[in-house]
Amino acid sequence: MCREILRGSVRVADNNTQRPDISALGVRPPIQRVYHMLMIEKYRLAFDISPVPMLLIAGDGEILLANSGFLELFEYNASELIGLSVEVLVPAPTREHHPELRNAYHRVPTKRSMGAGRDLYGVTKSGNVIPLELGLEPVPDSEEPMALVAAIDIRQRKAHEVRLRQAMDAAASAMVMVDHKGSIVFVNQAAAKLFQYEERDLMGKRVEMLVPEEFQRAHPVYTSSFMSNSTARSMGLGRDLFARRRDGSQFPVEIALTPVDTPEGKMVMSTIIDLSERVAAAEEVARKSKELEALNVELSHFAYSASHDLKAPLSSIVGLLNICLQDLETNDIDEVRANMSKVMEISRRSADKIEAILTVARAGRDPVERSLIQLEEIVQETWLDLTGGKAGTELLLDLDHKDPVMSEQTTLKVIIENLLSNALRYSDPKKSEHTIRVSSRTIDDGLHVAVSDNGVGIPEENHDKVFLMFKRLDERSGDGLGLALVKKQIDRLGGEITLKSTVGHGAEFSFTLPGEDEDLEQDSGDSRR
Amino acid sequence: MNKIPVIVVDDETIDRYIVKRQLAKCDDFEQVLEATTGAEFLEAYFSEPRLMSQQSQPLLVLMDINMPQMSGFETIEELQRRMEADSGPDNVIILMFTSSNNPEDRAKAELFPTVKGYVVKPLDEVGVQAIRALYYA
Repeated sequence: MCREILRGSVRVADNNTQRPDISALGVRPPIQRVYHMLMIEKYRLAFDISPVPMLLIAGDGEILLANSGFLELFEYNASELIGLSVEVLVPAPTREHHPELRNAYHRVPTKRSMGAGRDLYGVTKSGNVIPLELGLEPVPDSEEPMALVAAIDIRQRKAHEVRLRQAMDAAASAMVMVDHKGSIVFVNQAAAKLFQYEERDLMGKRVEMLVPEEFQRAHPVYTSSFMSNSTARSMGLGRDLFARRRDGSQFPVEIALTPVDTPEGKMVMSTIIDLSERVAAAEEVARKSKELEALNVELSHFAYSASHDLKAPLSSIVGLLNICLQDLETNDIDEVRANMSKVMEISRRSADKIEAILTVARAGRDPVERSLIQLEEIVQETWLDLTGGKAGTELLLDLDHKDPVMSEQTTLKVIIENLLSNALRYSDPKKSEHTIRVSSRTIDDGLHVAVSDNGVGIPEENHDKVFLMFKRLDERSGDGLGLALVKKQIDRLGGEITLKSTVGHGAEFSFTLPGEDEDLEQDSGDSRR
Repeated sequence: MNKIPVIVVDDETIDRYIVKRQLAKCDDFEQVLEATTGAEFLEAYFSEPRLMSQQSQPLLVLMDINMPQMSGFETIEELQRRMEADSGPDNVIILMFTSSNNPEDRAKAELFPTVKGYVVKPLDEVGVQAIRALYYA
């Protein structure tokens, strides 16, 4: 009878074999047993009417009392559970050091929740592990260390949390929740991915780790002012915002801030949208429209120049023929003959010029065959064509690129021909030696070629004008089409042409020709053979 | 009546020849002077006594627009700048002389106080009379 009172309302004499931890309980002095009995009786009624699953535990961990809610939750009968050590309810990983934790509690007993933020679990008779929230309370007026334990089944809450978490992770937008101190308390998968971190690298850290360095100092001030006067709004107040990835790189973002009141205090949920693609698309549109603008300028420039340059020879022809008519009346046949020759000469030049203009206009429209080319061969051939083998100018070759190069043979020939012809034409009569140097080297994305001379050079103010169509800068200029054509072809091939020149020292035109990826790979393979 | 002193500024030899021939038929003009670039014209205008303002008639300048180095317009800008700065000779009547009938060029020509007209190449008998009329206008 005494035993029944002590161990609850059900007999336990026959369940020795079901007590895994009974040895830990040791033997109690009679005075303690009486004391336990008193406490059990004191709490029994309260236990039975409490809807919350509850336990009364002795200082050594013995379960003294459990209410029906608790028994149901852990799938025990009272007779099975009472008298066991509480450790039977603790899942394996923690069970071993649980007595230690329990002893620590009894040294400084306070009312508190167990686990200090860790997830807590209990194990039922059948071995089910269930998440719990546990409240601990020392038994008041107790001379023996005893504790009341309230256990709340949080399986449903956990399931909700998981579902919420899944929903947050499914969201395309990155979400970062920050507490009032500016520490990260939540990130979804999109956020972790966006910032290139693992979730665990972010939790509990300062949110400033996601902020570009130049704003890191000011950011906590913004955070606290938002916390003290928070309404949902977008961050930055119209300024361009940037966020910082793990590798330190920055990217444009749009951030919406929403205040959230939680039991842990005021927090702010920030929804972050990566604008990189949008910004890149806007830049692409801007680039295209700039390109179109440039094309328009080129077109109107062409129309303007055409009115000058194509009409001028026709005017001259009409003028000359008019004079021929007058001279015929006075029978000045010699003058007529001379002027007729001039007319023919102008007509011939005009035809050539129109052909050249058509070449420029066609550049980029007609597909040109790409082939493996030998730069040196092109330069030597062109040089022979231009000089007829008797030049007063020396040609120096400094070709250091990896052969062969894949490009448009005919286009490259046009480019080289124009550059060499200009270099020849603008030699400096004051110098005793005239040299033209063609150098080449392989660069990251293709070929770099420079044609430099020690000629008269080009004044700084004309550097921008040399590539303009029809622009003839002095008497030695050709038809004003050569460099325009060269530039247009190089632009089309995705390269760049630049001019360096000092008057009196010479000029250097250098251009790049990007290799096409596939071809280049093949090329470098060939060149290693 | 005094003859009109005239200079043609044009890089095209043939166009200068046509001007010389056409104006030679008309007694109203002195023998045509020539400059092949804007710079050459400016050099002559500010240094050769023959072209300076002490002559009784203003100098007639037939100015081509499209020339290498300085264009006709650039040459006139420089001329006007130097006329203001050096208070040099300012007895000049300029006619744009070009194959371009481009409205942009015509509009631009009207902005220069020294430019009195616009003559489209090639120059023929009608053109010569037009030049004469513009000069005396």
